[in-house]
Amino acid sequence: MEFKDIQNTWQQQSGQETTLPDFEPVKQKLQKLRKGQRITQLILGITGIVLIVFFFYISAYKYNGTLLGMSLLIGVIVTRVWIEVRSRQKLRNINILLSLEDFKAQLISYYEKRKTLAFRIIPILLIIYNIGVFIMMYYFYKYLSRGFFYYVVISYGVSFIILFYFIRKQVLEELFILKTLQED
Amino acid sequence: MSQQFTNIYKDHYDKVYRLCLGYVNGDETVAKDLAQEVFIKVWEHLDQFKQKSSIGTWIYRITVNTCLLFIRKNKKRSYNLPETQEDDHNVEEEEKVHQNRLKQMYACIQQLKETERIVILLVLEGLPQKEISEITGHSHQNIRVMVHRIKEKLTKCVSHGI
Repeated sequence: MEFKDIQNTWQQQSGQETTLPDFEPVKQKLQKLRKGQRITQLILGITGIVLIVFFFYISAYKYNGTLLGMSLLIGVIVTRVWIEVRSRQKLRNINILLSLEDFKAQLISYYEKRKTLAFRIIPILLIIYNIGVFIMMYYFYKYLSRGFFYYVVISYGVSFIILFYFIRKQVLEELFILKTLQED
Repeated sequence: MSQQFTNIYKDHYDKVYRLCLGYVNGDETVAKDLAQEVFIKVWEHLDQFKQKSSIGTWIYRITVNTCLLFIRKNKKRSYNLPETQEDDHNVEEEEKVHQNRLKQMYACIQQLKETERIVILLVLEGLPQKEISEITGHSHQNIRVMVHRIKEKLTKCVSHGI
C-alpha cells in the first residue's frame, strides 16, 4: 500500500454527512457564562471582605489567641486560591494564534511553573496551614466539649487525606502532560 | 462581524471537525466539542485576523493549538471508531474493507507523537507543505523531512499493523 491510498481513504471520509451544528446557542451561552463569571467574582470578593472584617471583629473582642491561627489558615487559603486563579488565567491567556511550536513552548513553560508550584510552594503552604490548625486545636481543646473536639480532629484528618489525594492526582497529571510535551 | 463569522463557520466547519476527529481517534462526540471550542476561539479572535495568511491557515492554527490543549487533559482516555455491525448484511464488503482501513489509520495516527500527529493530519487533508510550515512554525525544509518520515511510518503501520 502506498501513502496515496491512505490519503484517498482519509479524504473519502469527507463524503460522510456532517450536519452543521447551530452556533447561535453557543454564542448566547458564552455571553451568559461571561456575565456569570463577573457576578461570581464580585460575590467572591464581597464574601472575602465580609469574612475578613468579621474575623478581625471576633478576634479583637473575643479570642485574641486565635488571631495567629486563624490568620495562618485564612492566609494560606486565600494565597492558594489566588495562585490557582492566576495560574488558570495564565493558561487561558496563552495566545492561541501562535504557531504550533511557539504555542507548545509556552505550554511547556506554563507546566514547568506548575511543577515548581507543586514541589516548592504548595508544601510550604501545607506546612503553614498545619501550623495554623495546631494552634487552633489548642483553643478547640480548651473551649469545646471533648466530643466536639474529637469530631473536629477526625474530620480535619479525613479532609486532609482527601485533599492530599486530589492534589497528588492533579500534580501527577500535570507532570505527565509536561513529560509528553517535552518528549515531542 | 456576525455575518462574516457565519460564513467562516459554514465554510470551514467540516475540515476543522475532520482534523479534530483524527486527533481524538474518531470519537465523534469529543470531536464535535473540540470543533465547537475552536469556533468559540475563532469568534473571540476574529477581529485580530490580519490577513497576513489565508483565513484557512489562520483557522488551522487555532484548531491545532486547541487540539493540543484539549488532548493534554484527556490523554489517558481511549477513543474508538463506531463499530460496524457484523450482522448487517446491507453493509457491502468494500465498505467494510474501507471502514477497517480507516480504523487502522486512526489507530496508527494515535501512535504518533503530538506534533507528528498534527502534521500528518494536515498532510492527509491535502494542505501544501508551505502552509503546514506556516501553521506549525517549522521551516519548510524541516517540514519536508518531517512529512517524508511520518508518511513512511504511517504507511508501514497501516500496511503491516506496526
